[in-house]
Amino acid sequence: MDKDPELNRRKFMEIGIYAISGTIAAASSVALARFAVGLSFEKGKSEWIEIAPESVKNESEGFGRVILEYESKDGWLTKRERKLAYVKKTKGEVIAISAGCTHLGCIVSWDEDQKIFKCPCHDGRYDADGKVISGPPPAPLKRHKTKIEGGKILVATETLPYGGDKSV
Amino acid sequence: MFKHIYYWIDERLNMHDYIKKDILDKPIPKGINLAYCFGGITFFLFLMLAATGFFMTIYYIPSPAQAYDSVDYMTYNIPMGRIVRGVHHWSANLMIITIFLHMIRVFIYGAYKKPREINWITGVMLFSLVLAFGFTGYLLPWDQKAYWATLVGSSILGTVPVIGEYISLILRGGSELGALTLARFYALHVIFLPIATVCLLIGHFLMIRRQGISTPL
Repeated sequence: MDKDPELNRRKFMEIGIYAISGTIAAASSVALARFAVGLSFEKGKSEWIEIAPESVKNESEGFGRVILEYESKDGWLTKRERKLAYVKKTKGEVIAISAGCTHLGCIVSWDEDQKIFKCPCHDGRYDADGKVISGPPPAPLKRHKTKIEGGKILVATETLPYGGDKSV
Repeated sequence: MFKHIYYWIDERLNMHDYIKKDILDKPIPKGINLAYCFGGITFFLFLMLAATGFFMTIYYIPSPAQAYDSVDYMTYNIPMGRIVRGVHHWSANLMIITIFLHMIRVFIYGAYKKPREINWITGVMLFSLVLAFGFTGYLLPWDQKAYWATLVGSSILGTVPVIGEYISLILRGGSELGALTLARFYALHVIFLPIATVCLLIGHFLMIRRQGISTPL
C-alpha cells in the first residue's frame, strides 16, 4: 500500500528493533523481579520433633521441664535451637506450653503449689492453661501443637520461635 | 497515555528532534559491516552483567563462612537463581570474546590512528577493567576453583620484579588469601570497577560520537 518502499522498510526495521529490545527488556525484568522477590512469601515449614516420653509427666505430677531441640533455617544458615517448654500429659493428650513470657521473653517458672506460671522479671502470672492472671504480659503463653503417634510424643516446631530460648 | 507523558516532557525539554535525528536515526557511514557490532555487543553484555550483578548482591555475602553457601542458596533455592547467575556467568565469558573481537577489528582497520588515539587508550583501559572484573569475580563463589585460581593469579603478580611482592600483598590484603582478600575483591568487583568502567565508557562513547566511526579504506 505504501508507495515509498524505502519508508516501508524503515518502519519495518524500527518495529523490529523495538520488538527485540522490548522482548529482552521484558524477559529480563520478569526474571530479575522474580529473583528479587525470592522466597519472601514462603512460610516457615513446620516439622514434628520427638520428645522423650519419660520427660513428660502425668497430670497429677504437674508440668515437666522439657528442652525442645530443633534446627531452624534462615536462608543459607542453619541454627540449632534449644527452647524450654512445660509439658504434661492429660487423658491421652499432651499439653506443651512455651516457657517464654509474652511480655519481654524471660523464662517463666512453674509453681506447683499455686498451680501458676510466674515470670521472675516483672511478676507476670499465668494459670495452668497459660492464660494471663496478672502483670504486664499482653498475651497468653504460646501453646505448641502436639500429637501422639505410635507411642511417640511429637511437638510442632511452628510456634517454637516465640520465646523460651535456652540456646546459651 | 505514554505519548501524552512523552509530549508533556518534550514540551518542556525539547529533546525530540535531538533524540530522533542524532541518536535513533543517525546515519551510519558507508562501508560499515557486521564486525562493527562487537563494541555494541560488548556494551550490551555489560548491561546484562550490571543488571544480574545488582540483583545477586541481594543474596551474596562476601565472607569465607557464608560466601559459598549464599551462592549455592541463590542458585538452587531462589526461583530464577540459575538463570540470573547463568546469564552473569555466560555474559562474562562472552564479554572477553567480544571485547577481543572489537579490539581486533579496531586494530585491523587501523581505527586507533590519529585522531582516535585517545579513544584507543580508553578502550585499552576498559579492556584491563574487564579482565580485572573477571579476575575479582572468579573468587567470589569461594569454591575450590575460585580459591586456587586466585592463589595462582596473585602469585603470578608476585613475580613482577621489585614491586611484585607488594602488589601481591596489597591484592590479598595480607600474606594469606582469606577473608580480607574476599572482602576487597568483592568491593573491587561491585563498586570500584563498575564506577571506573562507567566513567571510561561515557568518554569512549562521547568521543566516537564526536569523531565519528572510522570507516575502512
